[in-house]
Amino acid sequence: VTGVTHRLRDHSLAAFADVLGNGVRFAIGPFVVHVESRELDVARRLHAHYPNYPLVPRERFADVRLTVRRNRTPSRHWWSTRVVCLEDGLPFTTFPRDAALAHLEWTLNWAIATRAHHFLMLHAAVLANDRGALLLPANPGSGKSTLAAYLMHRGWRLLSDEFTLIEDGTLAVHPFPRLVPLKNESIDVIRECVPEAHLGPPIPGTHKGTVVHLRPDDAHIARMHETAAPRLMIFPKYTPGASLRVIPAERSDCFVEITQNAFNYVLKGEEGFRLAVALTNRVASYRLVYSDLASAAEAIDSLMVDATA
Amino acid sequence: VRHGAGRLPSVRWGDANFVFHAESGQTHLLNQTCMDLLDLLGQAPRTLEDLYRLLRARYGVDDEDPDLREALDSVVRVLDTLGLIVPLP
Repeated sequence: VTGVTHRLRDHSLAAFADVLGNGVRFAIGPFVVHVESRELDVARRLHAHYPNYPLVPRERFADVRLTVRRNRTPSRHWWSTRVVCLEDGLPFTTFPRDAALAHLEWTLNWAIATRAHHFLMLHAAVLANDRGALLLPANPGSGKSTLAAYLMHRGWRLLSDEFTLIEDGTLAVHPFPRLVPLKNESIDVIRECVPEAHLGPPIPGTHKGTVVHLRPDDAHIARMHETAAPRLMIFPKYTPGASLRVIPAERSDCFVEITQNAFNYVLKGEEGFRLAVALTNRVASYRLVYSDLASAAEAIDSLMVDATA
Repeated sequence: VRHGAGRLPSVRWGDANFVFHAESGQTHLLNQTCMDLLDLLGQAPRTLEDLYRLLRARYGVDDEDPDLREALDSVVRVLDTLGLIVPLP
């Protein structure tokens, strides 16, 4: 598996599990991620959920190095728990065996959010069509991931459901397409509205409730090196039973949202201020209150046309 | 008082002025009176009396205006606390 650039789906589970013990490197957007585990269950989950990501040679520098192994700390359930470690080899998070995929993903999120400071990083879903990029910054519970999961099956290309990576200078958004973690009620919403979605098994009892991972189609992964220009910023708010409302956002409000939403705005200092100002001036911004995904998507399509007319 | 920073990158949208203060890494939302005061101090250090006189001229206030004086004192205290201006001995 190592040494040649190809995809995980080209290999049998047995062959993949064999090499995963020594580590496998995936290209995910602009990053290389090293994953290592001797656990067959981890190999099985990765094989099922990461089939379309390119594998890269072990000689390539890895931005993040993740190891999933058994928990060696004596505890009541030590035999059924696993840990994810970063480069230092110490447990970063401990969890039940069946929750490995969720914790692998969350640990990768943490690692990128604390390292990739060559980008301005917004906590925002981002999708694109041929007109440009749509940014969906939002707080947890606002329906950001659910909306992103819906839009990516209705003509939009997924760049990320969690990270909007803004390049200095050009403001180009770099894709970082990953599994989309659907939580609790949103799982059934997507099952019903997007029956063609590739959903993994439920992982109950996490600190975010039940999580199901949605696997992006190959079309999204295949274009993960194509950047997109930011054109539209929507602040979504899912409100059960609410009728659709689209409210233009003042530029000053948009700027405040960006500065509060970016993982590394303060850390980037004046460059962060400059980027946030430039991004505010570049996008049309709206607040969107919705309860129905189809009508929200229709409104967003129309707003993007207006923003780029 | 004098200006507290060599340079204050700022942007204005409508009534909202945002100023980035490199020394603290903070971004501040300021009203127009604050911006006018920073503008005057960016030209030269000034006494509070000078600032009061110049602000009156800028706003076209001919007579003594206790409200403006109070607003100036308040703004000076806030900007001093934020480190955007510095008192001189």
